[in-house]
Formats: sequence, C-alpha cells, structure tokens
Amino acid sequence: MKTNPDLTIEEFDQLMNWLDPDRSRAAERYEQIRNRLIRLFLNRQCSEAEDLADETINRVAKKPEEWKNTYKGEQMRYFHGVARNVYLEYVRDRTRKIEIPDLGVSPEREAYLVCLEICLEKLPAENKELIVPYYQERKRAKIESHRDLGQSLNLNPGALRARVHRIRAKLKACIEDCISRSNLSNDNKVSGIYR
Amino acid sequence: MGEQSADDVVLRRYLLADIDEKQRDALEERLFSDDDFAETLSLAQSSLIDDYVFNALSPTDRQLFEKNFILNDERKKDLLLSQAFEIYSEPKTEPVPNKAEPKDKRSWWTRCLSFIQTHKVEMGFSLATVVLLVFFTPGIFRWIKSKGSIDGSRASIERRISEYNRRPFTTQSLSLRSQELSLQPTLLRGGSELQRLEIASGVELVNLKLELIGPQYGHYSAVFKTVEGDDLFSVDGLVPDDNRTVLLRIPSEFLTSNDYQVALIGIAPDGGRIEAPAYSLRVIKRS
Repeated sequence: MKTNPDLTIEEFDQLMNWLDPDRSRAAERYEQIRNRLIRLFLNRQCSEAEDLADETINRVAKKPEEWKNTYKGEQMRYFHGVARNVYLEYVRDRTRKIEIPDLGVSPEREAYLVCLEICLEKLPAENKELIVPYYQERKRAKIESHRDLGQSLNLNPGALRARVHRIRAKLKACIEDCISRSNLSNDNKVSGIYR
Repeated sequence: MGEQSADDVVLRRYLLADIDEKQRDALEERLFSDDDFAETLSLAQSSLIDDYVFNALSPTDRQLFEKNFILNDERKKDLLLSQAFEIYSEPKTEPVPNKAEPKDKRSWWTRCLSFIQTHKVEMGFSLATVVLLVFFTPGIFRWIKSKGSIDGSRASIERRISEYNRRPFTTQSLSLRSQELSLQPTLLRGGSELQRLEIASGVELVNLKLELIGPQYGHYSAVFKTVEGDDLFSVDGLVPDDNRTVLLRIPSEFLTSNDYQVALIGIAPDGGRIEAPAYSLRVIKRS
C-alpha cells in the first residue's frame, strides 16, 4: 500500500481507524478509495491523478474533526466530495503541462511483446486458450467468432469480455514483473523472439 | 468494434470526456457508491484501449482518445499490452501436412453399418428427436396459429399508440386527461428504487418524458417491455425535443399495475439501429 508522505503517523492512524478498526481491512479500503480517486481524476483529464488523489486523502486525514465523530454517511462519498474541491482548484491553477506519452514504436513496446510471450507460457492452458484466440479474432475483426468462442465456453459476450479482462490483468502484472526483472539485471536488451 | 450495450456507449463517452457535466457527475457518483460499477468501468476502459489499438474507433474518437484518455503511465501500460497483443496476434501460415487418406473399399452397406455402430449415441438422439417432432409438431402449428391472433392484438395496440405519438399531435391526444412522468436512464440511477407512476382515476393518457444521455439521434423507436424482458409493444418515429427528451404517449388503458422497462433505440441517418439508454418504472393504477 502506497502511504502518503505528507501525513503524520497520528493522522494516518486516525484515518485508518476510521476506515476500519481492523488494520488489514483498513489498508484494503484505503487502496480501494485511492484507486477510485485516481480513476476519477484521470477521467477528468488530470495527468497528475495520483498526486491529486494523495492530496484528497491528505485533506481528509488532516481534518478528523469533520468526520471522526460527526460524519455518518458513506466514507467513499466523503472522499468524493473532497475530490471535487481538489479538482476545482486544480483546474483554476492549470499551469501544469499535460505530457502525452509517445504512442508509436518504442523499445518499451518491444519489451512488452517479449514479456507477453513469456507470460503467456505461464498462463494456465484454459486461460491461454481463451485469450489468444480472442485477440486473434479481434485482429481479423470477427465479432461472430467471439460469439462462437463464447458459446463454446458457455459464456455470453459480456461474460467473455469480463473473463478476458481478468486474464489480461494477471498478464499485465506478470509482464511488469518480467520487465522490472530484465531492467534489474542491467541488461537493457530484452532477448526474445521478434516477429 | 464489438457488440456494445447502451451502458457501454455511455461509459465510452465518459472515458473519452465526451459527456456533459450533469451526466459525468451522475456517473462519478455511482463510481464511488457501487463496487460493481467500478469493475464495469474498468472493463469499458480495457475495451476502449483494445478498440483504439485494433483500429475500431472512429477518427473523432481516436482524436479524443489521444487527447483525453492516455494521460498517465498506468494507462500507457495498458496500451502497450494491447499493442503487444496486436502484434502477437498476427496470423501465421503453417504448412498443412499432406496426408493421403486410404481409399475405403468396403461396400456402401458395410460402411453404413460401421457408421451406425461407431455413432450409436448420436443415432439414438437423432431417432428420439424424430419421434418427438412427430408427436409435437401438430401442437406447435396450433400454437403458431394462435400467436397470429396475439400478434394481431399487438398490432392493433401499436397502431393506436402510434396515432397518439404522431406529430403534429392530434387534437384528440391533446384534449385527453393526461399525466406526465420524467424518466432518467436506469444506468444513472444505479441501485435506486424504480421510478413510480401512480395513474390517478380518470387519467386517459400517460406522457413519459425519456431523458436522453450520450449521442442524440434524429429519430427513435421505443420498445415497452415487462421487467422479465417480454416485449409488449413498440412505437416508431419518436423525435427528441430541444431539451434532450423523447416524449412517449401511452393510453392508460394499456397499462396495468406492474413494473416495466422502456428500451430506446436510436435510428442513425443510414437507418442503422443503435441501442440507446433503457428506463424502468413501476406503474400503480388507482381505480
């Protein structure tokens, strides 16, 4: 769990106790709230979404008198309310430049491709046999094949997409681990099969 | 690309920042109160990225994606993953092994018997199906014939409802005692209770004002259903007004105390039918 460096230990502990008396559940809740805040700021085109999410949590934590014994509503809504104010201030003070990442060919993309091959081999066979044909058929732009793939697995299109999404999330974690390990080995060239 | 539900369409407009403030606030409210919705949004995000990489976005949406969506490293990683899949999924041609099948020299009768013996289970199912068809076909035809008379009633209902929804409105529809309800799309209401319409005694016409979200079309069709999904009737040729609402008029005699859904379908200029938001309501008829 990424902690907020601007909070004191006391402020942090108070916040966590408010989220949940059980510390491990509180940590999960903290992460959940932080991720939702990041997503909200991203969807409002704030490139510094993580910083703004931390700022929001900061402000909540630094004013326990406003929620500790008085606020009775849903915690998530409280954070949402504070986030809206943070956003309004951000928009007013928009001197920050939004840098759009380069979307073209890059060494990063090549590294992803190599690690994708490695991570696909680590997937359980049933997952690999679902996600690979799914993207192959996307490449061929065949919606009908998605239906066939779904039907063969007894999944409607929505359930198929949801399952592919979950497998994709696991692959992403594996790929990031693969890339970080290849970076740690001080070898910037990731060897592998290139197509 | 891919089959998109009405919810998918709205979420995509949200992710591309192509949505008005009121709708955005309603969606974000839901994001913070509904865990399932957060997951749905995550799915919509992956789908958007895949569509960008696999060239399934319109030119306008591609521009919006590049301008409004890819803003941080996390989303860039998702994009890189999709790009990697796109390259990985290049079709590969493999040589097909050339195996010559040995020619079967047995007589056709021997081949038939051999086939039956090796496909006993399939033959059994086929025979059972034929027997069932022989017994049930007359009943099926009788049902089809009766459905014709049900369809006939539905056609009559739809004709009458269409008359009330014709523009310019007829003096008949304007002179009737009516009751009005504004409906918000179910997507924006999340887990809230159904919107209620209590039809007072003597009310002859119900005016449903369906608030639009997402892209607006020149014409709409509306399909009125039970919550179980059974179609009751449909109305074509509905035109939105300047306030982004579609007015649907229904004689109250066709409504009973029940829960209903209204599915709206946008008609594109090329005649394509695009699923628009759905609405739910509970009708309570006072005698």
